[in-house]
Amino acid sequence: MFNVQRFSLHDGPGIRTTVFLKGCPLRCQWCHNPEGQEQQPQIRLTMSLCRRCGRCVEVCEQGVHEVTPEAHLLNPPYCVRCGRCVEVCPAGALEMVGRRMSAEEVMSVVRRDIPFYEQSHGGMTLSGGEPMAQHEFSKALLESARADAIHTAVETCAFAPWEELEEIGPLVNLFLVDLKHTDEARHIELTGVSNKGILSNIERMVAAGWPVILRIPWVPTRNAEDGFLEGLQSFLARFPTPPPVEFMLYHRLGVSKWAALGGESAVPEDLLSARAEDASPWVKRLRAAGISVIQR
Amino acid sequence: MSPEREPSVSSEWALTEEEAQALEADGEYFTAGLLRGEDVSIPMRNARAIIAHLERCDLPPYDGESLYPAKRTIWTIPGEQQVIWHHYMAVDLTMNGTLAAEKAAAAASAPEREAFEKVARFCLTFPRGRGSTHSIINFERALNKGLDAYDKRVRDRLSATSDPDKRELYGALLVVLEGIDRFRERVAGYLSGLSFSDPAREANRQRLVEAYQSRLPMRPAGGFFEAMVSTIFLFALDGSDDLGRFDQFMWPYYRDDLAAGRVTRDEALALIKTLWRYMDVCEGWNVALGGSTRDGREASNGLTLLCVEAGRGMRRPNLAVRLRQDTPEEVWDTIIDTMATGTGLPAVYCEENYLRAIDLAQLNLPEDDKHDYAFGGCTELMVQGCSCVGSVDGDFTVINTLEKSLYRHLPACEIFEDFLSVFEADLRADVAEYTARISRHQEVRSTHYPQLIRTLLVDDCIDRGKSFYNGGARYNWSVNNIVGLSNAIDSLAAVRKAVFEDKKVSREGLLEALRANFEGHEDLRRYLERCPRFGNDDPEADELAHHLSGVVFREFKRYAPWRGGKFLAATLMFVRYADFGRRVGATPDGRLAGKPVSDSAGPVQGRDRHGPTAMLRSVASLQQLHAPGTLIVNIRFAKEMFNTSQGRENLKSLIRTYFRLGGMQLQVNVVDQEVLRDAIAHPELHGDLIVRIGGYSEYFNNIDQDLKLSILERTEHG
Repeated sequence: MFNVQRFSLHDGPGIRTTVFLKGCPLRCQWCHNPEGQEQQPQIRLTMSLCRRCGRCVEVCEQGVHEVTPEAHLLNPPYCVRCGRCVEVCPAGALEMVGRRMSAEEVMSVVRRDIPFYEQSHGGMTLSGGEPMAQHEFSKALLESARADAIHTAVETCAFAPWEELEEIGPLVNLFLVDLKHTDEARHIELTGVSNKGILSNIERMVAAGWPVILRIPWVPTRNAEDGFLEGLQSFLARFPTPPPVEFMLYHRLGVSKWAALGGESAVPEDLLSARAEDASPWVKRLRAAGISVIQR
Repeated sequence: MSPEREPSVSSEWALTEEEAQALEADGEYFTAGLLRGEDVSIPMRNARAIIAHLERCDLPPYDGESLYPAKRTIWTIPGEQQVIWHHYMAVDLTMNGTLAAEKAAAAASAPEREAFEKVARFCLTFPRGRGSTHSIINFERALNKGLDAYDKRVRDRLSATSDPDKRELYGALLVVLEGIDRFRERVAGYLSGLSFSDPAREANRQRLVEAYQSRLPMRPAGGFFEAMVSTIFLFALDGSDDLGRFDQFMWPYYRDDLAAGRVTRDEALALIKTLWRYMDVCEGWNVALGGSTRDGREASNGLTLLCVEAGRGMRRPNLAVRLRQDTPEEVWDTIIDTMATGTGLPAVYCEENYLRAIDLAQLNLPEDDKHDYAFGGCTELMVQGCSCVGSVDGDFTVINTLEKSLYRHLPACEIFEDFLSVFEADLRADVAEYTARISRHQEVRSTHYPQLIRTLLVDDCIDRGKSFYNGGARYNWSVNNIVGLSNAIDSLAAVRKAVFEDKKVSREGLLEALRANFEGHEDLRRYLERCPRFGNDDPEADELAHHLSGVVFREFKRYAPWRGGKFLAATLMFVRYADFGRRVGATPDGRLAGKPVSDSAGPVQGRDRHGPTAMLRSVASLQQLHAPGTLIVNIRFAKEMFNTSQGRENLKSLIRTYFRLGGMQLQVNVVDQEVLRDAIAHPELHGDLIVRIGGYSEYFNNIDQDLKLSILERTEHG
């Protein structure tokens, strides 16, 4: 787990608690939760709080931290996750992101907001990272939520064996499936893996009658290209009742997280956040083709 | 200064005729009226001072507005400094003895010097009441009956009593009533002497001249416009305080005129906006809307919506909407629209919880008066039109008591429960002393501050023949501000964990660190900052919150104030939390000496780090039903929340759930440019600022500088 976030408003209907599972089989170039990619805990530095006092350097036996008056650099590959630097930082600028939690621990947090779910028709959402990368654990969470009559949503890229998806399908009230590209070669370039299994899974999920919303991260210079729009249209044309589509417009808030983890985002530093108007030609064309496009 | 002074002897300051005239020549006509003559009762002195002001003051300028007065209060003349004046009814007479002494020294003649010396003596010896008391006059009665009917009522009572004090009071009231009528004439005269080339302004002026010449508010108001004229006039007369349940007492006028085509919705909205603007300019206070009718039905009406709409973008009045389970959705939607304009208005109140809390306070209100509860000032609880509740009578600093207890007792306490015990004993002792002090202040005011305008206009003073502070009002209780409760909760949680559980620091060690203001103890401070804190749905802190709030709130209710009723707790910090913080040293919650204390009943600013649902659950752990005075809770959201229908529905759900959990009041603020800029400059104060995007999680602080600036830009555009 790298976060159990209460009061989530954009991960399904109503007021929700989103459980962010750590670990993901994809490596999307624009990932806004880079701390979700590796499964194990990672050191994270919040530069705006760092006072450059150098106490972390003193206690670190591995040489993870390099501190000068101007900057604080991280060498994450050396980190053995002893946590000493986190403890001694006087500004609270260091954090070990990600920890093991039992299903019961997670659910005890999720249950606290039941009054809010009830009033707002909200519930629990699994996200990350990729929930299917820890499918047993995800299943346990979903079963527990069901037992407490909590509405369930899962944000997934659907890169998983169908059998695993089949197991959790009946436990999920809403699937939010991210699709990065319809062209296989492009998909591998942008995420590191093929989309064949993903596309097949999506078809089967919709055929099984599970509620699915297709979420398209719309990233200029990366996947916001004609090839994808056309590919989307033909993919959706295959469905008797195509799932609704929602565009997730590119935003830059994830960029600082890469630096905070001692890494680098693969997207240009100066790439500006996308505006609703940018994606509107896509929205228009899909709607003209009879596809339902959600806009909030 | 203690109220236990030498009794003030009037021979020491009563002015001769010559001396009084010297003061009047200096523009100090209020003071002259107050202190002139030796054998004059306090009520009559006040009456003369009041009418002297109404006779002589510069009238606020009129520039063609739809209602008058406009632009400023009638009691305070900007740029003028008088030695004694009654600028604001919520506060007793303001006395400037230093200025009087200066004027004495600079006096040009002997009578003038004598006069100012006497004034200085008066200021030094006349007992002070302390505290403030907002109130709501009975607008409905004044509008329906007209002030001439009050004159008749007072005369009837006067002829029916031989009690000398009552006779003095009634006599003084008659003087004031006549003064009010003459003031009305002055206003009519002033307005008729003007003329505007702009047709709209000229039409406004003529309408107002007609209204005042035809003797509003001395006669009953006929129709919506006349009711508005009388309302604003009485509001100004009362010292620009509160309007009470405006949407209820104005409703019959609006409903009938609307039905008969004598007023349109837009015209009414425009007039209400004018009144709200006047309240803003005068820094007036509270308007309570919605809730229940006197006979218990849902009360919102067309005016409720107009009142909320008229509040968009306004700092004042403090709009307070009472929400029931059956309040129409329309009301909610209008509320959210106004909240979106970012001034923190209106505040929302849970009707069911307030009614229950009033019952629990055993104030013995009959059902119909109970339903007429409203607020004064920021949001002090009172029944409209007939209450004298200390508002606020004073401030009780829980955090100072804790500081004292720590130094006195901590070293001797082997277990945390022992310390908690002695701290509670200290609290109880301090509450006893505090309530006794407040009662003494109340007693002083009962004989020295007749508050004639309120005695006239607040029920049941005329019937009882007693002034406003002397038990004349039907309902009397005392609302008191509790300071630093959230800091105390966090401090107790920190002491328990650091000293007794983890044994991170010894008892003496902690006190040493506090004395040193954490200098040389930075590690300890950081450790304390990571202890359980109120506002994060952490049972360790919230259990203390539940316990401590219960102790304080219930302890207050055990005492009866001198004037009657109960002592009620509230958290109404207004802007004073920085001031209070200056008087407290370093505290175990990691707060540095002299830094501001908590600004509300909610978590200390910025300490809630788990989002609004966790924050509200924490705040709901306070025993709120025992503090109906009002516990103000602030919460803030990004502008985006208000821009989509989903966001708005979620906000409503949040509020409704908070009420279901026992919450009573909420003030919703919008995160705007100013806040974001401050968050960039002072990230440690804004730990609660959050950004929500689908599939993404973060706290604002963790975003780097460039991106914060880009978010800043974003809110500028949307």
